[in-house]
Amino acid sequence: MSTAFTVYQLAMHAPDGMFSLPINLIFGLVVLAAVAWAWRRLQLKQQPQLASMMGIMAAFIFAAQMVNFPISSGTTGHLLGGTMGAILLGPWAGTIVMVMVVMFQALLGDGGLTVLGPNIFNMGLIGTCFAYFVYRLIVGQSASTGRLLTAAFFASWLAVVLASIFASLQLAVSGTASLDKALPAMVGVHLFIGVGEALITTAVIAFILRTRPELLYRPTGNPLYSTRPFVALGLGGALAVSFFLSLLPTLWDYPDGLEYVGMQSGFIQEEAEYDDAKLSAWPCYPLGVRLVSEADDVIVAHRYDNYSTPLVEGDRLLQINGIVIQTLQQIADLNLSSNQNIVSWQRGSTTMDAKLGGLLPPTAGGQGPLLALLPDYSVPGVQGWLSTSLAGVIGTVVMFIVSLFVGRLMARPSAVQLALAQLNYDANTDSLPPH
Amino acid sequence: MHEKPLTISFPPHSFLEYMEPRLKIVALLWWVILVVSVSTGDPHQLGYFGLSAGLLLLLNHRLLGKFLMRWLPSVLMILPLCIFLLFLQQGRTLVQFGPFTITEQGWTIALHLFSTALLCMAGVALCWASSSEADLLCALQGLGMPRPLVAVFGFMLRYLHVLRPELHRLSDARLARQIGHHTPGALRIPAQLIGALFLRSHQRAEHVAEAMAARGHDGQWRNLIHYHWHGRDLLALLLFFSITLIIRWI
Amino acid sequence: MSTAPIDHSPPALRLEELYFTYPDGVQALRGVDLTIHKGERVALIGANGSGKSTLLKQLNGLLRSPHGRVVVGGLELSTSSLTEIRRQVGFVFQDANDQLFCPTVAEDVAFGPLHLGLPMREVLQRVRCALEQVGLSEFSHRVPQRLSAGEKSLAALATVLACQPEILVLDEPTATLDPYHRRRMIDLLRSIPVTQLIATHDLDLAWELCPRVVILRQGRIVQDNSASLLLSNAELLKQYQLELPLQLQGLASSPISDPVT
Repeated sequence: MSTAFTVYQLAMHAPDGMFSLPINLIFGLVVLAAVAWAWRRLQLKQQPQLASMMGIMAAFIFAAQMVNFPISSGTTGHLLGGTMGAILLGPWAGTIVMVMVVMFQALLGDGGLTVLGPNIFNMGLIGTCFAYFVYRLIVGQSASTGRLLTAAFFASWLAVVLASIFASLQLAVSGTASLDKALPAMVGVHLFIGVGEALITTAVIAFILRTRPELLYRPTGNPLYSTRPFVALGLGGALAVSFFLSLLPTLWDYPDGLEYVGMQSGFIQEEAEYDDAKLSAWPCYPLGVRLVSEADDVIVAHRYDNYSTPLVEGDRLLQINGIVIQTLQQIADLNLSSNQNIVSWQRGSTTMDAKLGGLLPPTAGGQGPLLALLPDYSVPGVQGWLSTSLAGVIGTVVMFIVSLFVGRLMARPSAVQLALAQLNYDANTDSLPPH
Repeated sequence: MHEKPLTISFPPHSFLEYMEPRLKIVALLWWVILVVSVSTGDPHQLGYFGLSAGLLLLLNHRLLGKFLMRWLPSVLMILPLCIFLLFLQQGRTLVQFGPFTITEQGWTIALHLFSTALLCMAGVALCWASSSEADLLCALQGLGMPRPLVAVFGFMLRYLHVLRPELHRLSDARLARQIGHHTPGALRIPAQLIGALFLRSHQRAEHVAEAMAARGHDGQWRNLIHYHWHGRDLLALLLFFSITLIIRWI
Repeated sequence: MSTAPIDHSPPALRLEELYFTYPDGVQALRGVDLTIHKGERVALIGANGSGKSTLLKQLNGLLRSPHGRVVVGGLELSTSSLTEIRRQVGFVFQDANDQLFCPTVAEDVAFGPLHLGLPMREVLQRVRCALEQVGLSEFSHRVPQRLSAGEKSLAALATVLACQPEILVLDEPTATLDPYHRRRMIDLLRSIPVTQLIATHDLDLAWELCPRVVILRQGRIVQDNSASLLLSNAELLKQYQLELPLQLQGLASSPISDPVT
C-alpha cells in the first residue's frame, strides 16, 4: 500500500484513540453548533421533501466516495466530497449530509465514534462551510461557467489541503504525532491529492452544468445570503491557509529562533553520556532548550520532552556566526537575540548549516525540498518568516491561477460536442435554400 | 392485545440480539470511552478489555460470522495507518530506513492506537452485527436524535442499497463503451460516473418525495415501533458497566 | 367519451380540462376530460411520452394543472382538500424502490396509516391485513433491499392498500415482473374491489382486467371505449403506435367474445 493512500486514509478516517479528549470535545462542539445552525437554516419542518432529498444525497456522496480515480502510477484516491456536496446542495444541506455520511462510516468501522467531532470537521465542515465560502467569494454574482468552475476547483483543492493541516494539528496537539513530522508529510501529500479531488469535483460540476444546470444550488434571490460575510470569510480563510502554509518550514525545522532566546537565560555545564535517563534529569529552559557541554563540544537538545528527540550521539553545535563554539559561556557571550544568526552544527556524521528560523529539516535529506512549492520554501532575497509567508501566499496564488486555467478549460465544450454542434449547424444550413 | 415487535429482522440466537437496541448503544459508547481512556503505557488493561470482548463474543458465538465480516475490514483499514504513525514521532531511534526512522515513541503510540482502535471497532462491529438497521435507527431516535435527522439517516441507509447497484450499472455501461485503455479520459470517466449518479439520485429523491406526499406525509414523522426497557436489559447493562469498571480500575 | 349519467352518487373521479406543461416546455397534457365511476377498472394506454404518468400524478395533486378541475368522489382538488384526496387516491409508483423507503417492509406499510393519524392498534391491524392481502405476511420484518423485484412490487401495493383508498392508481404495475409475479399481481388486482385506473404497456393485462380502455396520445384522450372494441382492432391500435395483445394476435380478425367477465 503506497504512502499516499495511507496518508489519505489518515486524514479521512481517524480511529478511536487518535485524538485526545480536549480535541474530541472541542471539535465535537463545533460540529454540533454547525449542525444546529444548518438545521435552523434548513427549516426541515416546512419542507417535508427535504429529508428524503438529503438522505438520498448522503447515499449519493457515500457512493461517489467509492469511485476511485488515479492519482499517480498505481495510487488511487477517492473523493472527500464535502465541497462537491456544498456546491450541489448548498452549505446547510451539505453540512447535514456530510455529517450523516461520516457518522455512517464510523458505524461501518471506518473512523472512530469518539473522534467523530474532528473527523466530521475535517472531512465535512471544512468542505461544506469554509471551502464553500471561498467558492461563493470567487463566484460572486457572476453566472459565468468558467468562473464557477474556477471557484469549484480552487475551493475543493483548498478544502483538502486545509483538512490535512487541521488533521496534523489535531494529531500534534493530541500528542499522537509530532508536528514537525506530521505536518509536512500530511500537507505535502495532500497538496497533490487535493488536485485530484479538485479535478474530479470540477469535472462533475461541469458535467452537471452541461446536462441539468438547474439542479445546481444557487443562492441568488435569497436574502439570507448576502455576499459580504462570504467575502470576509473567504478572505480570512485564504489568509489563514497561506499563513499555515508559511508556517510549514518553520515548524518542521529546528532549531528555531524562539528557542535560542531561551538559551540566554543561562547555561549549565555538566558531564554527559548520551543517556536518556541522565538527559531528562538535566534542567530544562523555559522554551525547552537544553544545552550541555561535553569535552570540547557544546551539545544542544531541543524541546526535550516526551515527544521530541533526545540527543543523538554526535549532535554538536559547531559555530554561530562563524565563531567556533567551545563552551557554553561562549554562547552566552554572543548574546543572541534575533533569528538571523547563522548556526553551523553537526548531527551524527552529517554536517549541515542552518539559518535560525530557517530551512533545513532536522534529519539530513528529509522531506523539505520534495514538498516545497518554491525552492526551500522561501523567496530568494527575503529573510526569515516574511520569506516563508510570502512563499505561502505565492503558492496559493499559483494554485489560483491553475484553477483559472482549469476552470476555463473545463468550461469549454468538448471536441465531441463541438463536432455535434457543427453537424447540427450543417444540417440546418443544408435544409435552407441557398442565397 | 399483545403485539409481537415488528422489526426483529431475524430470529434471535443470542442474548445480544435480544437486548434492547438503545441499551446496546449506551453500552457501546461506554465501552469505547473506557477503552479510549486507557493510558498509553498500560497494555495489560487493553489486554483485559480484549479478553472480555472475546468472552462476550464467545457467549454470542452465533454472531461470529457477522462480526468478523464487519470487523476485519476495519482491521485492514487501521493497519496501514498505524504503520504510517510509526514514523511520525520523534524520540530514540529504533530502526532507520533512509530518511525514515521508527522511534521508540512512535512504536509505543502506534501499537497503543492499533489495539485501542481494534477494541473500539470490535464493539461497533458487535453492536452492528447483533441488530438490524431498523433497530439502530429506532435506538438513535430513542436516545434523543431529532426525528428528521433519523429519517435522513434512514433514507441514506435505504437508498445506499439502491444507488450502489446503480453506480455499478453506470460504470459497466461506461466500461462497455470504452475500448482499450487510454489515459486522457482517466479522470473524465469517474467524473461522468459521479455526475450521472448525481442526476439519478436527484431523480430518485424527487420520486421518493412524491411517494411520501402521496401517502400523506406532511413533515411530521410518526413511529411504528416503540421500545420498552425490560428489567433484564437493565440488569445486563448494569452487569456490563460494573465488569468494565472493574477492569478499568483493577 | 363515456356519457356520465347524472345520478345521486358522484363519480369516483372526474377530470375536466386538464393541461400541464413541464418547466422545460414539454406540453404533457393538452386538455384531458375523463370520468370514472365507482368500481370501474380502467386501463390507460398509450405510447411512451403520451402523458400517462403526468395524468396519473394530477389525480392526487403531485402535479397541479394551472386550470381545469380534478374531482375525487365529489371533492374538488385544492390545497385545503389535498390531504383528504391523497387519503382517497392510492398511488402505486412504477419503481417499487421509490415506494419502499423505510428500513423494513412493515414500517413502509405502516407509513400511510400512521400519517392518517390512526391509533396504533388500528395501524398494526391494517399492516397485517395489507400484507396478508398481497401474500407477504412472512415478510414484515424484512428489509426492502432484500426482496426480489416481484416481492417489491407486491409490497409497494400493500403500502397503498393499507391506506384503504377509494381509488387505486397504478403506474405500470407489471413492467418489471416475471410471469409468476405478473400473474399474482393481476389476480390480486382483480380481487380488489375498489375503483382502479391502471396505466400500462401490458395490453394483455388491460385485456384481462379492464372492461374499459382509454388511449392517450400527445396529451389528449383519443379513444375511450370498451376493451373488446379497442384492443381487438389491430388497425386502430397501430395508428396509436400500439399492437394487439398477444392473446389475440393468433386469432386474426375472427370475432372475439368479450373476455371480461
